[in-house]
Amino acid sequence: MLVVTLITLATALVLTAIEDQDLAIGYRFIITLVPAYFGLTLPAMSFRNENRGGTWRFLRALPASGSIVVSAKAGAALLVLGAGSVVALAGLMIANGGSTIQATRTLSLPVVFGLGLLGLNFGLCFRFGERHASLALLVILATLQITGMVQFALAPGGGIRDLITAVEQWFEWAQTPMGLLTCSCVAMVALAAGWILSIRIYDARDITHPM
Amino acid sequence: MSNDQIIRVVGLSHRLGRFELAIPELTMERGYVLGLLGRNGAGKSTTLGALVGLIKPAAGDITVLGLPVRSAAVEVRRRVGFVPEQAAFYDGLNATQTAAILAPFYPGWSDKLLQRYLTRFEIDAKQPIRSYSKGMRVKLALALALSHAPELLILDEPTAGLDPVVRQMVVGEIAGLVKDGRHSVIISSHITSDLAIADYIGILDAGRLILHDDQEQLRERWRKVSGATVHAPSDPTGLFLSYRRDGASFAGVTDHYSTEWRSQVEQAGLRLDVVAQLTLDEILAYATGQRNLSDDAREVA
Repeated sequence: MLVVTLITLATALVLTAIEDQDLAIGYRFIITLVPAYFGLTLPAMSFRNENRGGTWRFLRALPASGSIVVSAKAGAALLVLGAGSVVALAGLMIANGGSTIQATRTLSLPVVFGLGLLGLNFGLCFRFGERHASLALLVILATLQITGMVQFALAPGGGIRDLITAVEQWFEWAQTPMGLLTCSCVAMVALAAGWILSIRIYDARDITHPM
Repeated sequence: MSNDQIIRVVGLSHRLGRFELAIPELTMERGYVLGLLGRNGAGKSTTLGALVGLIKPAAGDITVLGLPVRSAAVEVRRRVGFVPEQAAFYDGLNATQTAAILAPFYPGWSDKLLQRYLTRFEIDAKQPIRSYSKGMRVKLALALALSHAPELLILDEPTAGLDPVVRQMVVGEIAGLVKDGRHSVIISSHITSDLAIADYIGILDAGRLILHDDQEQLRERWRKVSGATVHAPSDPTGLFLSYRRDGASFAGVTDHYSTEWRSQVEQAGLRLDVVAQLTLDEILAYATGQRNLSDDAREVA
């Protein structure tokens, strides 16, 4: 968390001194990646720590149902993701010269994306273990991407140029109020699915399975 | 199930890789100490894990404190004090912080009780747990398990690897707990001296409960005898668990010692000169077939 904060703030400071717009877009992109980074890494890090330290046995031995244990872990991950998002927001505000509205607008979609990733990744960690969850996530994301590309390529008049235009159009749409609402709903579904799946897996297993 | 029966296991079976646990029946009444004895890998930890719902057995019904473990494992763990073989803690936290995490899960939690046990076990509650020795960790696990005044305390190898002083302290604490007749303890160990406090002994071997009895009766019935052959006897091997004849003298081990058994032995043409009690170590060794008198004779030779 400390490292991410330092990198974000350093990037923001660099941004204040950059005049080249293309370069600035690249640096700004690094800051907006913070929520997604946490969404991708937090569950695996948390599970790895429990498994290496043996503390999953401590959790298992508690008189607590899966819903309590999973909710506590998910809650902690959401808190860290929230803190990371605040750091990213601060970074963007520094870069933008203090504009909160613009920074919030820039960061809203990455935060929603981070939340969706967190939910998906949480469920995958419980299902496949932290070692294979990242791989499973990459496979899912790559499958989605390839499916989309194939669909575009097969569409009448489709092609790679149209695909890039479509992606750009999608990002523009995703930042409109309706797009953001739709993406938020998808992220919430991913979070809820990850949470419910994790509880079911936790309750079905016993102490012979690490997290 | 009677009100005083706090544990009832029927038809328990579970498979873990090549290991298979099968306990047709095991019961325990309130106010007693049950010692589970067995070699490493005999199934002690699996059995205890199943009692608190940490192991989900493939088949069988387990009732603890009147609650079915399969459907009420959380409630069972709330009312039972469980000390696992490898007590895991968040090492960066200290005892007070760990207790603060645990307390909300137990309705009967008492900070006063915790303080009493921390003081008695000489645990520095402010030091991070990572600085604790193995003995300190066991004592902390025991203090935490006792701080919610459980009706049943289940201890999985609590004294393994502890020095004699700490072992005495832990065993003494357990013995003191059941004095009021309301508390019960199940303790597993492969250190037989720790089980001197047990009212009942269960011996597990390769996943089977091969023996379960009152410790006094167990010691009464399991005897090592020796003597002489008085006249050409019929084969007396069936009267013994292990038997060795050496010329006119013989030695044997039985798990059926009684006045009736004595007369059967004498009718078989044997004269008993020495009758000695077996230690729990010897009972374990003979019961699990790890030792017999023929092997003893070869070793002596």
